[in-house]
Amino acid sequence: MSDSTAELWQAYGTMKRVLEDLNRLGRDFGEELRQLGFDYTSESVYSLGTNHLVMKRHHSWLFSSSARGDGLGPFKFAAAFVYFEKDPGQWKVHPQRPEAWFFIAETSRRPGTENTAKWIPTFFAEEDRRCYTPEPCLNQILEYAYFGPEEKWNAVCFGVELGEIDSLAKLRELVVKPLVAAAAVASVTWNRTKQADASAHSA
Amino acid sequence: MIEAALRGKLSCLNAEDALTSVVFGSLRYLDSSVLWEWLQHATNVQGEKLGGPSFAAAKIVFWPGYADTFRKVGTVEPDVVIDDGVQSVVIEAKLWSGKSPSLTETTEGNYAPADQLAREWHAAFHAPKERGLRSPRALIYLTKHLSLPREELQASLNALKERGIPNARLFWLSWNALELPLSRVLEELSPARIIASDVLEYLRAAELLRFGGWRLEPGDFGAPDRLAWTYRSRCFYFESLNAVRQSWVYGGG
Repeated sequence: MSDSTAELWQAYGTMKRVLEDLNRLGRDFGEELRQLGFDYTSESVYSLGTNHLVMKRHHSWLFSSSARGDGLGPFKFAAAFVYFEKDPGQWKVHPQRPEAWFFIAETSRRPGTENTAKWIPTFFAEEDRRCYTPEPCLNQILEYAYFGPEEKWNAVCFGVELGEIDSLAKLRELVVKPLVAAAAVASVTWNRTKQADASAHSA
Repeated sequence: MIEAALRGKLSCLNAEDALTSVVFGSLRYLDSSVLWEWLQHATNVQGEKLGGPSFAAAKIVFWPGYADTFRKVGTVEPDVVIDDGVQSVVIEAKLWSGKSPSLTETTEGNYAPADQLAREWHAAFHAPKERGLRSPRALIYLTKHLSLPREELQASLNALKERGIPNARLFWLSWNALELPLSRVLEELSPARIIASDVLEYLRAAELLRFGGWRLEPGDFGAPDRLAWTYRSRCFYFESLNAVRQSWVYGGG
C-alpha cells in the first residue's frame, strides 16, 4: 500500500469508531433523561440515511413519549443533534468545529407519520436565530420560542463542542442535568405563554 | 468465532443466540466472580437486586429443554441455566426481539398467547430434575434495555399470578451491565484479560455498550478538534466512490 492508501485506511477506521461513538452518545442522551425522570424514550427516531453515498452533514436522535402523538396537547420530545457542517441557509456557531446540541421541547405540530428527527435541523435555520434567547452560542442554556399562525414551538437547548463530551459523566453533568433543570423552569413560562395566548384568542 | 464476527466473516452480530454463546461461553473461562458481579445488577419490578450468596464453580447449561408445564403441551427452552449445585438461575436472553408469544388453549377452547417468561419460570420450577438442575431461585430477563422494561416483566408476573403463583422471582438484567466487571478484568495481568477484551469488543460491535468517550488513536486524530478533519476525509472517501458509481453504467452500457 502507498502511504496515502495506508492513511486513508487508517482514517476510515477512525471514522467508523467516531460514528459508533456518536451513536452511543445520542442514544445515551435519551437514557440519561430517562434516569432523571424525563421518560421520552418509549419511541426513538433517528435521521434517515441517504439513499446514495453522499454523507450527511449532521444527524439527529429524537425521543418522545409517543412519536406519533396522542392528538391531545403539545407533542413533547427531546433530541440530540450532532452538527458537523451546516447546510445552506443554516447557522452554526463555529464553521469548522463539530458541535453537539441537545433539546427538550414541545410543539403544537402533530407528528403524523413523518420522521420527526428531520425537524431538528430546522432549529438551525438562519431565519430562526431570532427565536433564541440569548443569541445562539455554546455552553449556555438557550430558550427557543416560535409562535407562528399555524404552529407553536418551545424548547430549551444546550450546545457544546463535540469533543467536550468525553465521558458519560460529562454528558450527565455538563448537559443533561442543566437541561432538565432549565426545562422545569421553562415549562412554567411555557404554560404562562399558552394561557396568554388563549386569552388573546378568546378576546 | 468472535474474530470472525468482528471481521465480518460471520453475520451474527444481530443474533441473540450468537451473543448468548459468546458471552456465557467466554464467562466459563473467567473467574466466577465476574459472572456473579454482573448478575448482582439484576433488578425486579420492586427495584430489589438479586442478591444472595455468590456462585462457586458454576455450571453453565445452554438451551436446556423443559416440558412446558404451563401450557401442558410441548417444551420450553430458556437460553441459559447457571447451576452451582446449590442454586440455579435461569436466563432468557434477548437482543432485538421481545418475549416470544406462544398460543395456549383457554377454558373456552380459544387460543391465547402464553407469556414466555411465565412458561419458563413455571417449567424450570416444576421440572428442573429432568436435566439434573436445581430449582431456580430466579429467572432473569436479559435484554439490551438500559432501564427496567417494567411492563414486560409485570405482564409475566401477572400471567403467573393468574395461575396461582404470586411470588415468582423474575428479574431483569441489561447486557450493558457486564461492561464494568469485564473492564475490571482488563486491569489484571493475566490471560483472562484477553478473554474479557474479546467479549467487550463483541459487545461494542453489537451496540450494547454505553458512550465511553472518543476512541481516537493518540497521535493520529487524538485531538477532539480533529473530528472536523475526520469528517471531511469521510466525505472525500464516499464522494470518490460516488463519482465512480455515477460514471459507471451497469453491463457496459
